[in-house]
Amino acid sequence: MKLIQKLFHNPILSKELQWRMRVKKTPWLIALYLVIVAGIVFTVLSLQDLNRVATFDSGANIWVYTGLSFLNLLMLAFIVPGITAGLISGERERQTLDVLLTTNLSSSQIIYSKWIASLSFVLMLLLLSSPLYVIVYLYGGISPAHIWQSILHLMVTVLFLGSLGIFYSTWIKRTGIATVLTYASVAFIGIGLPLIYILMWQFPYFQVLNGQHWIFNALLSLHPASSLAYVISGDFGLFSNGNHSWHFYWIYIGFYTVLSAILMFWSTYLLSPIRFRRFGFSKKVK
Amino acid sequence: MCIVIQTKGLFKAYGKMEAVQNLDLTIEEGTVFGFIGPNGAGKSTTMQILATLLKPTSGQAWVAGFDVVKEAAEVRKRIGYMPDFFGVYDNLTALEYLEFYGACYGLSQETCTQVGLELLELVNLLDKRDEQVDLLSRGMKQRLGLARALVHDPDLLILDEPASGLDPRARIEFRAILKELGQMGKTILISSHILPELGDLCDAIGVMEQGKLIAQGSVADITAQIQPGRVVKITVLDRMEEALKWLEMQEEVEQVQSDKETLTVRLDGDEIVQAQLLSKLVGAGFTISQFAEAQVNIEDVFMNVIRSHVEVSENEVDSETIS
Repeated sequence: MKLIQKLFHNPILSKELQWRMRVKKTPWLIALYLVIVAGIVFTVLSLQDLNRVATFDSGANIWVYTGLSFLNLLMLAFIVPGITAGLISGERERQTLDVLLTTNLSSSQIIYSKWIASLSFVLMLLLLSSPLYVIVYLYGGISPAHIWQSILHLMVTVLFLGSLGIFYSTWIKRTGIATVLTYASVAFIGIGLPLIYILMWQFPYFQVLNGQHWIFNALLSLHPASSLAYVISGDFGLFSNGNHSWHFYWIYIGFYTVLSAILMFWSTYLLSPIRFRRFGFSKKVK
Repeated sequence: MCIVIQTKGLFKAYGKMEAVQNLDLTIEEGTVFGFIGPNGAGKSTTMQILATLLKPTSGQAWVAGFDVVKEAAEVRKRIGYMPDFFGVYDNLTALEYLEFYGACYGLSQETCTQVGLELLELVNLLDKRDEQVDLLSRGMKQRLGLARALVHDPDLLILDEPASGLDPRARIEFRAILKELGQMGKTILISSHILPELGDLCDAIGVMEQGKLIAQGSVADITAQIQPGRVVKITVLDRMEEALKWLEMQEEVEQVQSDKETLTVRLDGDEIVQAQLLSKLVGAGFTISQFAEAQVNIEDVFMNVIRSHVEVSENEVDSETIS
């Protein structure tokens, strides 16, 4: 409880939230996000209504829901790196980092409060778009479990993308390079993993195994879209023969949660001016 | 007196470049200590080590008795650090800026506001309390930076080139605030390129060159080390030429220079010798309107120290070559 109190009385968190809501581009960014998401959702729903004049196929609605979740993932993949990749390097470039490091705040407090501040904005975007999810939910075909699973998936993805951005931002001194590397890493996960998957199918060795090799399972588990689709709609029949021994969804959740923790710990280590110095004590000199 | 800063054999190297070499430094409580030296001398590196921002390659440093490496958190509570270049957060007012840093030091919201207002008054920025910090002039930002360094009432202020880039008026204002802080009993470690500014501000100075502390003490002590004896300015109302010749004949006088109205005399001796010379001048019938020890220019001291250090280094190299 004390930890939570300490966290929410954190000056960096307060300042970042204050700053975020004072910046003129913030309401525009929120509006743009909602317009895009709402535009796509309403377009898809309208097209379905037009195609099936009197009836609405609730079974097909799960496609709309999954599509909406993918869309959210895609947009977060663009938004989160942009927000987080300059958190520490931006302080360094603004020449405010040294002063911050000489205050009573520890490196971990600086890292975590900045991470939470930026992610709280992203979570706000997700929260604002939740009515659109509810609209889709109203048409039926989606269970509450689907909703919770997709929310957990999105949360883990956001936390991971945030920690990836802050890691590069701490490691690389320039915001521009840190941003490029973060997007490159996200692109590797989003596009690189499916490409590797497709390329592997071209090898006769793997064709014989018919997708049952552990590498196929690992690739499907680590990809945000396949792991989410797996839990919402079985596997859509998209992935090999659908007879997987791995639970893609939970492997995804576990892997990226652990990876996020490692990246955050590593970022704290990199930010400490005198790294891991706190072991041992010296005698006072009077 | 309590020792606020102490370093023993402090050494910092960046690859092959040795930024600070075996620095032994002791600064007592309440001292205003000026660090002078050319660019790359190691002043900023030393200050960054003391501010817990850099780990020394070897050697040790203590601030208020706490090791800067092993007890960095304790050190940070006791120092106010102002780097040579620092930025400010946009979208924050001057008061909010100080409140933010106050909160970073664990002060309550009420205390932050109260301390913030008091510090804004100290640095003459109270009328700018609601101005956005990024819109303040450079001089105002520097003063605000100083206020920020004071927000938790530290024992020690580490100010790295605080007056750099300021116009003359801003420099004078800044120096006045530092003098006030010195009178309040704060220990201040300050570096500056504008050497004359440190002269009347500092109780002691340290001259750094190529990572080494080549001289340490009061301006007068260092001057005495480099240039024994003293320089006296004498104004004679009449018989200027005669006085010049008379002075040249005196045993204790090493050198005499004259301009239109004043004679500048270099003496070999202390203040007793200086007093005796005045008596002899009056006894010889000269009408003296001014007889005072010349104010030592810190810039001259600095240049002399550097010059003598270079000469010593060259002699050492020569002797090594010969042997």
